[in-house]
Amino acid sequence: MNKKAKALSIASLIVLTGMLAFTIFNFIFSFRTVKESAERLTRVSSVKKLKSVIEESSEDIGDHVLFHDTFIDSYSWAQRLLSKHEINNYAIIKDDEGMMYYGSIFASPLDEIDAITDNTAKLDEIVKENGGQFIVVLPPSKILYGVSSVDCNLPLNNPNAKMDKYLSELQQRNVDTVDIRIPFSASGLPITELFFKTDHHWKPVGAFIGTKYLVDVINSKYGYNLDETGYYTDLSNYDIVTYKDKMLGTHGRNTGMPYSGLDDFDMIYLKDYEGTSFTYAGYDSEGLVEEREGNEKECLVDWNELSQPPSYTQGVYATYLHSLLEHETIINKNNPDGLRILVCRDSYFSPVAYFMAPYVHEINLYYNQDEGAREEFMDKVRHDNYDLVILEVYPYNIKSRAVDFFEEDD
Amino acid sequence: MVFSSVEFLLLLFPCTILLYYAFSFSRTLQNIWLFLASIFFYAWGEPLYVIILLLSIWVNWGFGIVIGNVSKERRKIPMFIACVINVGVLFVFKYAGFIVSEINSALESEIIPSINLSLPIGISFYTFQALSYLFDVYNEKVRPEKNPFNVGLYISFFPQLIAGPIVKFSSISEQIKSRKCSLAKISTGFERFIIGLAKKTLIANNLAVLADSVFNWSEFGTAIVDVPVVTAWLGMIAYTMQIYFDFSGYSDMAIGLGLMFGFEFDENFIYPYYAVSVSDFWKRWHISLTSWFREYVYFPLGGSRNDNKDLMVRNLAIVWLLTGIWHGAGWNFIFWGLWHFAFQLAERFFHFDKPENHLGLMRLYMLAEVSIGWVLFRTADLYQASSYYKNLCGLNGNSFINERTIFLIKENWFFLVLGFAFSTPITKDALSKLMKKVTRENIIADTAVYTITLGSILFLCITFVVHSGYNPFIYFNF
Repeated sequence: MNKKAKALSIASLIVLTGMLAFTIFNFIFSFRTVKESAERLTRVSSVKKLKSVIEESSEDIGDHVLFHDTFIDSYSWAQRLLSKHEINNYAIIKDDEGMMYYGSIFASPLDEIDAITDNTAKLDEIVKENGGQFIVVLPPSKILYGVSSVDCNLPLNNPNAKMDKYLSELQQRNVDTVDIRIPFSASGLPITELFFKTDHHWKPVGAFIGTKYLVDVINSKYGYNLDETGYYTDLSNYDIVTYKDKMLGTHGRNTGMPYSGLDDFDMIYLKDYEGTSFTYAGYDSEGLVEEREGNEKECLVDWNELSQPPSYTQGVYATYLHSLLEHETIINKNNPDGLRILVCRDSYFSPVAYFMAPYVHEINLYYNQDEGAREEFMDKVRHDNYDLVILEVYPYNIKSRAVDFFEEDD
Repeated sequence: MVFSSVEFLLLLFPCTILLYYAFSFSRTLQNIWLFLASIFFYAWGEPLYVIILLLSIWVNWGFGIVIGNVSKERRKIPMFIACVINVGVLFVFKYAGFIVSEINSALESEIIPSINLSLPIGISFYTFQALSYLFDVYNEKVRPEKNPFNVGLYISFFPQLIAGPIVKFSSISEQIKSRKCSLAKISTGFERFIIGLAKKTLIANNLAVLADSVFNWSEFGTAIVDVPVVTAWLGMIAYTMQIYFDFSGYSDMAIGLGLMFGFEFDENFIYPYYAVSVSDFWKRWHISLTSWFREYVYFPLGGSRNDNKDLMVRNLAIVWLLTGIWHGAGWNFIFWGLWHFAFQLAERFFHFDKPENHLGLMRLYMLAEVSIGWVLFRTADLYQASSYYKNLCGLNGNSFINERTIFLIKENWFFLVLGFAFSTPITKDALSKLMKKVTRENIIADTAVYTITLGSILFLCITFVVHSGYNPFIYFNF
């Protein structure tokens, strides 16, 4: 063996030893995950389910690798050094200003809109038969005509055509709608103040603008006098505390902090919060997860999120109410005669519920992506008399799953 | 399971190799352990179809015993039955759907109910390995294996189970029972494995994003998405490199892993894009498959060693038809096989299969022929292939270049350059010369440089794997 071959041989053995040592430490570190995966596999009752359980286990094992965040950061640095605008086969696109978007090489299909509209219209009928009001709320995406300055030659996942079609068909079926692109375009604010750079969600200020517009529409359509004095829909009555570099959004968690950077997070709460009194309860499929009582700051905010540094597991968007749960209930004890609202929603509605809570009595929220939650929601629609039922669907969730309320009926 | 996954790199592989060497006192135990690890490896990706693999092992082991223990005259029938069973299973899963849909299409009605079976991963590879075992027993190159675990290990050995190289039983039968393991083999094997992993995760997967997006846009049609000429060429070049780095990377990993367990597999790729003719290309690309067809189809048919050139042409045509069919159930694959047949035949007849002059020009010719052929290979059918060819020539009402083309070049130039650089031996030789100058062949300096290089490459690969981004596997379709 010549010197070069010998050197290569030794080097290879050194690296192999290092790798084996790492795998041993990794096994110890992730032992619980591996054990849980193994137990999950042994509990599988059918071969059909086995494949999905295996996929789930693979994902779990991958998420619990030792120094996981270091690997994500390294990947992120590599993408940054290559000045990439596209990550993960166009899953995420970053423009030159650092704003991140959902990407796609395909145009969004519009053919399923008819079925989605049918289900939505059916829900509208049932609510109205029970004497309630029904409205569909569509928050905007970051690709906002007249506001976004993103280069449309980038392979972006542009949901506007889908939103336009859905809204148009609902209006033809006399279903009330709220298109929050309207106040956003009229706000005069740049897109960077309305949306996070590293996340698909709107910023709290954006959510506030959306909430104000929603309240105006509800009042004008149904004659309710929500926030009669305009106090709660006036941003000057709120304190805005900026937490610098606190937010690592969904896109940022998928691409890594070095690539995405961090967002500031503006916590907006009433100046006069001490007089408020609420209860909050959050449930997942196994039961009660969180219960709080107190004023707005104590009850409707999950301060845990803001006390942690940015991480790859959770973002501070979950500060409003809680991280997204299948079912959440807010009761305003100071307003027993106020409006009762039932909402089938996704994560966009969390800050909206927070902003609306002071001038309604009850907000009951169900997560539209969870089958069990949708069933409970329908049960409430049929057997409970809410004044107002809201279906809120964010643009990328305009899919049949979000309105799959009638499977059993079929 | 795939090699470029966390569960393989950080769980199954270390567990397998550590226990393998813990069982060094018993070759039988080592083989059983490798067999069980291989079945687990396969079952992780195919929890249902692992049964077919196990049945294949058991049936072929049984037929091997029968064929090997009867006289030459009496072994034809069991051999025929065994071949029918193996090819039959492959046919049902891979080709029946296509045949049925073609018949129904020709008759313009669904006379035969359509068949939509998903393809078991690696079935083409392990079926050919099983057939190799039977042929070698039939031809008395080897004795039939009494121990079913040895047949099981040969057919299911995880390094080459799902994407080759296709190993002939006669070349490995002795190694199953009496191979030598050594630190030198372990180190060489691991180095090879890292190189293969890098080819796959760092180059192939990134070029796949470019190739897949362009080919997918082309499928929509110009009315929906314009695919400019330059973009179409970019896509074709990207796919040409993607398929090489994906497949050869996987072969490197397979050969490297095999070596770590003491098995020596033949090379499967020898810088095919450095070939000087199409004939030369096929001596460098997927060598194990061409070798299999040569030994078990071409030579038994008479090969080219006869005076009747018509027979030679016939034999070549059969091999290329089968090569195309092996790769996929579709007319595009058949045409792809015949495309290469036409060029190889022309080279033989006009004597430019082994050129000695104008090598640069010959390489360009070879690259053009191969790349254009890959379009047939990549597209879903002949219609999509023709549409793509029209895009390449600007005959689809498509533009020459647009903003998105510039975007694609800016996003992918690094991987295209990397692909060009490492698809020939020039870069490797240049790097070796650079090393000599830097370290002056001092063993400590050499070791340090190699350790840092291999360690960094491995770290980067694991980084991309942990991030679990886009990870397609082209040859999984076979």
